[in-house]
Amino acid sequence: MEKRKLIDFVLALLAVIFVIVTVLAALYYAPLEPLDVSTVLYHQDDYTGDDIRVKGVVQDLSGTEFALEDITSAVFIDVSYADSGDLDAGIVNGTTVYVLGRLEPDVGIAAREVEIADDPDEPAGWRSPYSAKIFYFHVPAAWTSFLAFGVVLVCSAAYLWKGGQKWDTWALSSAEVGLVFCSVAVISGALWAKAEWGYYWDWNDTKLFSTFVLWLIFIAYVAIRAGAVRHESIPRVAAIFGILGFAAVPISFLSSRIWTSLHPNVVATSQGHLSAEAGAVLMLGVVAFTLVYATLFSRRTAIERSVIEIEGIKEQLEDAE
Amino acid sequence: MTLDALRIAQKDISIELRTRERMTSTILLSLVIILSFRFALFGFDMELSENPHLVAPILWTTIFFAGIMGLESSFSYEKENKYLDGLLLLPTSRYSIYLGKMLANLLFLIVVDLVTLVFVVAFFAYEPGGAFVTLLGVILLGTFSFVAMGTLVSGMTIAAKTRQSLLQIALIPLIVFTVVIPAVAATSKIVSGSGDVMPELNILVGFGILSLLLAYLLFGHIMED
Repeated sequence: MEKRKLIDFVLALLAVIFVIVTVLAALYYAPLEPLDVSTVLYHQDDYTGDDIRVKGVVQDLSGTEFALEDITSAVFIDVSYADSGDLDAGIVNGTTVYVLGRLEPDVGIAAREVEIADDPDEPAGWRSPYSAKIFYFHVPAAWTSFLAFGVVLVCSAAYLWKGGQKWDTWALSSAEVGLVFCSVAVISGALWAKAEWGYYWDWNDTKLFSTFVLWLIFIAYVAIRAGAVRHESIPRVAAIFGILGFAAVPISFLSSRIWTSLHPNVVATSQGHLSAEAGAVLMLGVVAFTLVYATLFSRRTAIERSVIEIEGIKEQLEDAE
Repeated sequence: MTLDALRIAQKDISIELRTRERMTSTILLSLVIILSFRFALFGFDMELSENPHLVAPILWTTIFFAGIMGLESSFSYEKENKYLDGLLLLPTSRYSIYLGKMLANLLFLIVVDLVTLVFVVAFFAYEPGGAFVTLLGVILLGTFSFVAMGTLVSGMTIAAKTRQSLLQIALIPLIVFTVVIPAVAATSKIVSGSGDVMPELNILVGFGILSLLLAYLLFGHIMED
């Protein structure tokens, strides 16, 4: 018993230290441009990915010239190549592309044929570089929630296969803690989107949508458990639901890599890379959040064990009467 | 197995034919939703034929709400009258119980679908015309995959205390991508008379079959005691 308390204490201490170090590192050490944007996200001259935010002058084929930067929150949902038809060829100056998306407020939703011209005065980069530092908390939170839901999957499978209360306790605890991290990821992402894209949420974006579904699934998981009798069929049902629900994790992770999405891809992608300093701070954040997860998970399982113990005592007392 | 399933479905149907509880309340809900749309969207003057893009959302919102209400009461007769153990003690596989319940739910919901379609046609002056058969096909397939997963989840939530709200919160994330979006997209395409609905129909059929498979694997675990 004492040993467990000691482990809890050390975990909590480490978590606090790492979180503080991460905050300081994100604020003072990490570069203001956390990602090498010219290769990661947005179009410059030789961009070859699917996502594009054009900086510079484009020309409507009907003849009107307009600068996309003049349009607030221009979002390009789909880009296909009119000239070459070859996705690997990339966009070069003067390439004609079809841009399907919202060019608010002037153009409306329509497929437009536009020409991209290079604008040397317009540097590549983020609209709101400082708020991009939320990246060092958003990504670790999302990763930790994936880890937590992975633990739910493993523990649920073990519970169905072998039985045993501890698996159920671990699955429940991990799901609840994971839901907290998932909420942090969703909310921090929405705040960043407001600063960078100009709005909180985009329902057309598969990444955002699939993560929202993942969030709903584990809200449902926790709701199934809430107020449920602990030793009836609920743990088994929850285990099945946890296994089914985990299917949303790979969908959420891969969605922005499979389908066109505005969500930046940094890790495990061919789209770009982190600078060494940013990568170091990101790793620090992942370690810090994993420690926070471990601490909360350990405390949550302790609470659940006490609940089960108290229910056992209650039953004994009732039997004695 | 099939025969047992049919008998269980027959039992549910004959209970329904005698009490008419579920059908009455579900169809009334459908009527209320359709009327709300009618007056909230158009007031007294406009007609849906001028806004055909609204057919799909109105139709499916009504079907899903009514369907969830129907599913909520899927096991409630057994639960309220404490016949659940009797049902589980039947000398048949758990999957037959699922299939029987699924068939009964499907039949109920198809009737509700047809009534809802009549409401849409009547209150919005919408005329399906030549697209009627395709529209009916999409509605039937959407209802099938909805009910296939819905009956499974409804079985999951029997034991929980807050059963009714739980069914919705557990079911909706599972069907958003797989039933709601394809069904509405296919219906929109049919109504606007443009596009091929086969991709959406494939998703609906695929998810329906997947649900049946999952139920085959899992329903025994869910209903163990």
